[in-house]
Amino acid sequence: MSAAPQPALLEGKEIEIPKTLYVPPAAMRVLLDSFEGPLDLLHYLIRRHNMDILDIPMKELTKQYLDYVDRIVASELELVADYLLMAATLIDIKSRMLVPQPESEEEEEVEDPRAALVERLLQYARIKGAAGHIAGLPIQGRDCFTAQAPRPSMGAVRPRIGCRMLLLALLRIQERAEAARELQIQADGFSVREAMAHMMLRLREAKNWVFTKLVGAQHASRARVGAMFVGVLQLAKDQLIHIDQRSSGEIVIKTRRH
Amino acid sequence: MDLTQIANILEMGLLCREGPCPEARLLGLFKDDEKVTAKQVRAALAELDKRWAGRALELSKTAGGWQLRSLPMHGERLRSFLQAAPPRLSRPLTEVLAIVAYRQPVTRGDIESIRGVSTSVNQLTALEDLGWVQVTGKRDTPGRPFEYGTTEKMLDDLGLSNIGELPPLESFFEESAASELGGAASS
Repeated sequence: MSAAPQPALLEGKEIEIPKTLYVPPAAMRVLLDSFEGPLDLLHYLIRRHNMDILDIPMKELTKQYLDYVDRIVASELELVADYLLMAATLIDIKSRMLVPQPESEEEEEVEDPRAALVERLLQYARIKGAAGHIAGLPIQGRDCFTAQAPRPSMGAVRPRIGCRMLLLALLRIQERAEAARELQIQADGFSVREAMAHMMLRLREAKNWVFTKLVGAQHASRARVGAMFVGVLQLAKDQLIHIDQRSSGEIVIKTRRH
Repeated sequence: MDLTQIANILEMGLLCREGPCPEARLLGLFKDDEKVTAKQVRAALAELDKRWAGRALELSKTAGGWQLRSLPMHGERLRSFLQAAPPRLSRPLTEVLAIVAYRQPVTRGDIESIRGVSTSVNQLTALEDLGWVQVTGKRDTPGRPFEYGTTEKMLDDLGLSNIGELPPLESFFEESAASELGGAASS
């Protein structure tokens, strides 16, 4: 017969598990908080009872576990899903171990129903160990600090300004503004739309135009040639003109509309 | 330039710079015509290590490079002196960190199935806030869950050069001593 559930350990102090049906909520809270979940609870029970993790006495473990879970269910419903799933797993394993294994003719290895659980427990135990190791490392900001001389923050130096300096600055600004004004380039004021209108007019005078003549390339400003060029492309896109190239290399613009 | 001079200059650089400094950056302390080689810098770092032995700071190398840092044995003293708030490492937090560190890249599902508990969001968020864990990608399974991995900052803050410096997971079979340590740290 199994012994009564053993008291849980929390930070070295034993928590008595209440014997009566009524569990003070505060005590349950502490009991729950001392475990990270069903695997942690199982792991604790196995260690507490000196069970062999590789050969778990399922009956004993399941009973111990259910004892705890009964109490948890009574108090903290929203937390119990994980614990209940584990309870179901334990009962499943226990029941499969009770059923006699059929003599297998093919000599195949029958898997121990506990194998998956043992694997999970081992994995969890290792992670727990690793977590302990990590928590014990010297951690920056907790156990050690990087030595670092703070950089002195320099107060801004206030410049001494006299009337003469201000005047000189103003003169320099005016000079620069003057120079900038001289450099200003006046826009030609000849838009692509105007170029298009201009070309359509001339194409009404004659159906065929050599491109350079149409643009008037010799006399036109750069902006004007640019506008004309874009205008020609736009007209071609609108299918109002037709662009052709003669074998001599001359580009010829023709109207399409009649 | 002799070894002592190089070591002096490195010492100055490490003390005045913020955070760990990679070896390549340390070379930047020297002008081209001083012709200091990476090999000399390494020798000078070994010299510095000797120089600080038995004193209150130690030369340490982590993923981010070299730094002079205080000895862990004086952690509590310095912490209260600097009024520093240390990262709070609860037991669930270190468990999740251990899973990410050892099993990366991991999804939330992986973490939860290893711990047998269906909540790990808070811990992951806290670890991301510490800059120790980051999303490294998405797994090609239904739902495309995020995969998490550890960061260089985590290695730096835990005093590691690389993740391989953590002892192999298999060595934690008999973990009683270590888990007590973990319990103490969370309290």
